[in-house]
Amino acid sequence: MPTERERLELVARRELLTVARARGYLAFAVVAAFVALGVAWLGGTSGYVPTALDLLAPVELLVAAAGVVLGYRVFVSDRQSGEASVRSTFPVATRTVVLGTFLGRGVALAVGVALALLPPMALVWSGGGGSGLAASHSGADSALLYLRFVALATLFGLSVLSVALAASALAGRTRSGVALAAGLWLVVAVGADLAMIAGLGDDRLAGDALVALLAASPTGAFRGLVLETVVDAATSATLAAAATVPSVVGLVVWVVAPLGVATWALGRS
Amino acid sequence: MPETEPRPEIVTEVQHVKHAYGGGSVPVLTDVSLDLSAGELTVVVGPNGSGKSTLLQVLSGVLDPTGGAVVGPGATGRNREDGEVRPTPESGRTVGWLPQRLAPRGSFTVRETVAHYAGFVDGGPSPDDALARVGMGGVADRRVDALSGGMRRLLGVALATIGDPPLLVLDEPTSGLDPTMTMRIFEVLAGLTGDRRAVICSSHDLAAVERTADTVVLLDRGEIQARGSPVEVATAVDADSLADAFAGAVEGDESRDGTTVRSGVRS
Repeated sequence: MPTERERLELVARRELLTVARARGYLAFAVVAAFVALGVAWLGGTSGYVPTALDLLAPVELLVAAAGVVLGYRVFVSDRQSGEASVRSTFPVATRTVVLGTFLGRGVALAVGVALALLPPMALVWSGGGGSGLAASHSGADSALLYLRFVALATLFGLSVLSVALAASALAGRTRSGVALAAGLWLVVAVGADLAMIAGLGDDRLAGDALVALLAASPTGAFRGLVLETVVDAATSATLAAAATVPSVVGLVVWVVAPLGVATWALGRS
Repeated sequence: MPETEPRPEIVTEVQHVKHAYGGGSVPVLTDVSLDLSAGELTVVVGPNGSGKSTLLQVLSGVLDPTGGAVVGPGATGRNREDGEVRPTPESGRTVGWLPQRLAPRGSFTVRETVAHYAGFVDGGPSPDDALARVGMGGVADRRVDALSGGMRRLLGVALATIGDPPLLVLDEPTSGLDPTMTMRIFEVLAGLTGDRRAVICSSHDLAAVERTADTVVLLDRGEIQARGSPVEVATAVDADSLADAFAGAVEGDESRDGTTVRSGVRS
């Protein structure tokens, strides 16, 4: 009998191939690469860290969009096509389907992020920006810091993908899937920012409390981690932009928890 | 039913199954009991809204009945005669299911689609054997989105046989198909019955049903009105043919209060 791992790989492979064969996603990645290159070029290719800073805002938008696009209709489509019904008669656990889907589409997202963000790195390299040193010294700009930025962008994208998969599992139809995914993301991202602004305005939030609250929001955690572990590593100033460990833990929770919701939702349908 | 031959193995028993939608306010199956025997093709016929799809979904395990039980093959199945628990098939798959609408992902080939599902089980036909069984060996490398409607149904039938489940359940496998493809699919289904497998489907194609079905179940208003060979069913309701028996059931529904039954609810 196939093991659960083998079934997991089967699901993941099918999801990865589904995305790879969808021309729309490839086109999206190419457009994102051009946008990233454009931003990097306009910002000047003086270094890896300045380029990462220039890309922070567009990456937040584009990677979030990629996560939503990759995830919002997966389980809805499976229900509408009848494949979910057929698959329910096979000995494959719901958690295997959810995790396998996340892994397959997660790999696709990671490849897309790399395709979009590595060209600007090449642009900086060809322009002679950066010291070329490894980030072992505070104050040194290096390609490793940029790669750290790419890794953080990927982790952020995975958290969005996870939320979108949960929305897809909860929704009944494609339209409600995209509305739920986008709506959930707005609440998570914008809502957390508004709460922080309100807290700052009332002087209820300051210092450590603000930094801790940033970790609770995936967008806040991502931004904070980039500023703390990419920018701060290259400058001598200490920004204290994020609590590093809580921010990483927060992003991981935003990856894992929605998958639990998706498993629960699919199991009851 | 006259028993001049040894009784075929009972693969699945439906015991007083009931189902209602809307929290119980819309009864669709009121009391259905039947046995499905190995080696037989059973076809459920009946007017729209009679509960055919619901019955098949309950049989496949996709839907839980609100009353009664389905005692099927596998660990919970019991042989009616001696109470012996029948072991789960080696493959782990007890029911093969084809829903009324199945549209597998179009960017995959026929072989890739079958191989994907075959990877979940152990044993049963290989992807190529499953396709050959339904006559699709020649299109194994064709993309699913390049198949005709009839070929997609045959692909669905092939998927239902993966893992060699003892029961195949197919919901209107010939809906919307031309007569030639309809007969082809029914012949495939009849050929899939075997020593340890029962096949049940629903259909409105009464000519094909009369030619190929071993057992016909006439379902109306959530209850079985007649069951037996096509001739026996027609005789049981004083009709000359299965088509007349079906028409009689529809007219009976309409004449009761001048309305047409839809989905178990009088409109």
